[in-house]
Amino acid sequence: MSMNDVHDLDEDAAGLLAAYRAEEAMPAPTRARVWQRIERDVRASAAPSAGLRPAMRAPPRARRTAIAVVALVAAAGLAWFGAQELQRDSSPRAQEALDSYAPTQAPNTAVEGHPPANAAVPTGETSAPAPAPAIAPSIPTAAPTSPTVRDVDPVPPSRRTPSPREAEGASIDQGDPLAAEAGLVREAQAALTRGGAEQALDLLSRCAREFPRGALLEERAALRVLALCAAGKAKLARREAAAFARRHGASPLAPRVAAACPEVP
Amino acid sequence: MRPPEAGRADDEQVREAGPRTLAATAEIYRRHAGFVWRVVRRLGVPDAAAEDVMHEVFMVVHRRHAEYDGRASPTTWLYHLARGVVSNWKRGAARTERRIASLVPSPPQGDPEDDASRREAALFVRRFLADLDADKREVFELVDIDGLGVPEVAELVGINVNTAYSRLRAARAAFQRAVSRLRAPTGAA
Repeated sequence: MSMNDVHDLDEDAAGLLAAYRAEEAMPAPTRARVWQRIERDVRASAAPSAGLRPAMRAPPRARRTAIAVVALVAAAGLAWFGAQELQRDSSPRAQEALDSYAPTQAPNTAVEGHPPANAAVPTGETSAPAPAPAIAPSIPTAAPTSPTVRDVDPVPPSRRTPSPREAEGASIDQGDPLAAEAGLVREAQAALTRGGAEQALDLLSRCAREFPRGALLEERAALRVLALCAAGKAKLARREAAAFARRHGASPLAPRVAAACPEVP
Repeated sequence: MRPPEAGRADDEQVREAGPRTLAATAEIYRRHAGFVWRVVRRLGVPDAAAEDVMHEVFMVVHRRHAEYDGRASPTTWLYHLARGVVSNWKRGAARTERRIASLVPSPPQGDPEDDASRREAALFVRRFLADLDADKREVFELVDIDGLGVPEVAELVGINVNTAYSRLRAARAAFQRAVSRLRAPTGAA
């Protein structure tokens, strides 16, 4: 038995599998939410060790105590801040439950006291009661080049916690090109979700200028097709959708892009 | 069929990314979250728990990245990690509550352009897969849905390459027959 004995599926069968693949794809809000949690937990676990300690080695007792104190202070500060600013339930369980049903939440930063860039992951979903575009710019959040610098921050958590507005604005990371690019794409997605197609296009153009060889070219191209269509530039959207199909035919985003702006007879 | 998400160049990037940095984990997540998601779902983890399981898989990835020596492909490594995490999840008595909660349907994902025909097509494939022999199903899914190469799948599943080809051929033939049956009434109408 070899490859030659295995026949390709015909067009219909391949089409059915493509539909199945699209249906089973990880939804973009879920993708962003999961990454948010991973990043939060990784930062939390890295913070005590300044990112240099081997994974399995426990920190000394004195340090553990210090960490616990800092965490308690951070939690208290954030609880107060949360009560003042957000006026929402600060229970982690309640927050987690909320997070799991609303793809719009900033991460619960009360434990680790690290509110910043990662807080904005799915900015696209932050202020959007309307469904997010099903396009899945598969962007992990801002990924710092070195966790050692950012993970240990002497600034008190109460000062570091951004307001919701700040959290939204914090999506662009100045230090890491990937993070900055991802921030722009997220903002574009957020704008599109809010109905700001032109703004989304502006952000994507800025992204193209600043990161002509970025890591998220595929996601950007897909998002641009949706934005063009939403902005009423259907012809251009279809042209770019065709270009997307040529360049990224195997992309999981391809079916979504192809269906984004159908021609009306 | 090309992998939908990861190519060789991507895999090299994953190998070269520094161990245990958030950036490395981010890169792996960016390249392979979709694949892991499908694996997790196919192993029977429901919507409501899938996020927790995904989170756990990638926390393990982060912790154990230094152990990954690059000899197996990232997808192989991730596949085994995902299976382990799902297995633990299934065993965990503490998860019972969440598993019960998972019976509550998850909220719609909000895809206004999701049309009925795509859903029907996906349902058809889901039913076909449910009836397919487990061994053939695993190979078929990994090759024709996840886009992995047959030799890689053989390594991943732990079978001979020829056996993998054999299972793939049988699964494809069965799928093709099912598709023909699906087409028949439409054509006759």
